[in-house]
Amino acid sequence: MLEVANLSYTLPNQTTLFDDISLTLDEGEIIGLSGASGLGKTTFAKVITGYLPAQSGEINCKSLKNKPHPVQLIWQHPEQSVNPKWRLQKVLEEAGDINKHLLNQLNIPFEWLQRYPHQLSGGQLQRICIARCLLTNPSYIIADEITTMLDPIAQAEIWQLIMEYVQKNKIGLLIISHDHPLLENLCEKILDFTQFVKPFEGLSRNNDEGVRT
Amino acid sequence: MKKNMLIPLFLFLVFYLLSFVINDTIRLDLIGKNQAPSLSHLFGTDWLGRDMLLRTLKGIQLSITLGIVTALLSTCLGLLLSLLATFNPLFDKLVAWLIDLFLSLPHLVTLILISFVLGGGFKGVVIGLMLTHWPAITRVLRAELLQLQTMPYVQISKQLGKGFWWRARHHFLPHLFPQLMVGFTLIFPHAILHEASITFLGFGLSAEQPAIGIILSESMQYLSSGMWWLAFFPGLTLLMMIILFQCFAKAFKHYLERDRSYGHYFNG
Ligand SMILES: Nc1ncnc2c1ncn2[C@@H]1O[C@H](COP(=O)(O)OP(=O)(O)OP(=O)(O)O)[C@@H](O)[C@H]1O
Ligand SMILES: [Mg+2]
Repeated sequence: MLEVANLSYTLPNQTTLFDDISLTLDEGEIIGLSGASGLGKTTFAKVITGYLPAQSGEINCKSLKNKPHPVQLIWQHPEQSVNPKWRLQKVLEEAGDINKHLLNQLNIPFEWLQRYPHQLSGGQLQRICIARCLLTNPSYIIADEITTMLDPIAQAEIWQLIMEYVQKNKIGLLIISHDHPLLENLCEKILDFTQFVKPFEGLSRNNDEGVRT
Repeated sequence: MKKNMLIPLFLFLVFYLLSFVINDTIRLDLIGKNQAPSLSHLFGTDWLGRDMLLRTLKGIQLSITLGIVTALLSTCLGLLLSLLATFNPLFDKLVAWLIDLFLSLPHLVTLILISFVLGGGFKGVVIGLMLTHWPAITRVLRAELLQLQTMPYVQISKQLGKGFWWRARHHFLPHLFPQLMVGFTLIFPHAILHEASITFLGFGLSAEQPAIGIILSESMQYLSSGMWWLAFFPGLTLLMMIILFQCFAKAFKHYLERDRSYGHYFNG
């Protein structure tokens, strides 16, 4: 079980982004997280997955030295998350030995492995990123708006593949998205990130860019 | 594609190695001194009747060796320091401070001081040049690495359990390679010219070593009496060697970054 207790994060400019978040994610559980733009959802995901240090609070999954982090983050922009100078074979091998069965499950033809990232479409590249994440055998996955840039059909395809894998391997999944119908479809429980932000903070923040839902 | 790379390299090596093959000492010939270029002396002769072609080839060999050794050493030093700077914030402060220190001192003065302290000669000049030419390339590499570290794929690599040196080898080095190449090709002629200037000032190589810098500075006094070939041909040869080198470096860079995945469509 992934347990996050009393987690806070403060930006370098001393504004507190979120305060005192507690959350648990069971193996095989699927939770949705939504909230207006700029509230700090991505930052929250990065803190849990070890990209950013927490201000205070406890997370019970820590990475071991030279081992993949047990909580893996899948980023929103696949073209920034792979080294443009590497063949996709190397991109996948960075995470672990390539598992042919897994590639089949994700509909990744072997022919792609000899290509460079710019020779795939965004959706295809996102599947590579998902494969890379799964190759580390994570216990928990945080998916941060991973299908926002895709059309509904490609979205449905990717989510179907992920759901199959996650349910079979009992992986805890936290889905961050602005797409409420999607979350209602996939998740057992939907959290609103607004509750973690101090109310007056949330109001004073400029929300014009985002949609409050 | 491969031809573009191999031809300049081949020519460069031929010119460079030619002087090892020509082993006979350069004879003095006071009767045939100050001759303009002719068939028997393609590059003419100097005020002691020495054949300028042989002197140029010998000089090219020494100057190129010096240029390559220096450029290689400074690039390596720059790479090492910039990697250390990204490894640890404390090192980063130290390296930034050292770069500022060296860049604020006049190039030539530092070079003369270091070379003089080390007693001049080939070793003194090389170490002096290395210690004065690293800051520029280190600054470029450090900035490049700072930017690279903010890239998602580098941060992801860390969370995939890869250590610093693994990332340095697989993410940083291929990314820095063009900068290293450019740095190397820029330092290379620089080093040769600096060697010539401190030799000219009397702190570098001793006058009997046949470096291009020495040939050029010696022929200065004869240029006004119309003996243009003394400086023209050695200078031209040096220029040609540097151009050949740069052609090779450019083709090599393209060769490394070529796209192999669709290669068979073009090669039939
Ligand atoms: N390094 C930083 N310095 C200053 N402010 C930052 C920094 N990083 C993020 N922020 C701010 O933190 C807030 C949260 O950013 P974050 O990316 O976590 O939002 P989000 O909830 O993921 O938004 P979206 O739904 O649009 O993806 C934003 O208002 C952003 O401007
Ligand atoms: Mg976000």
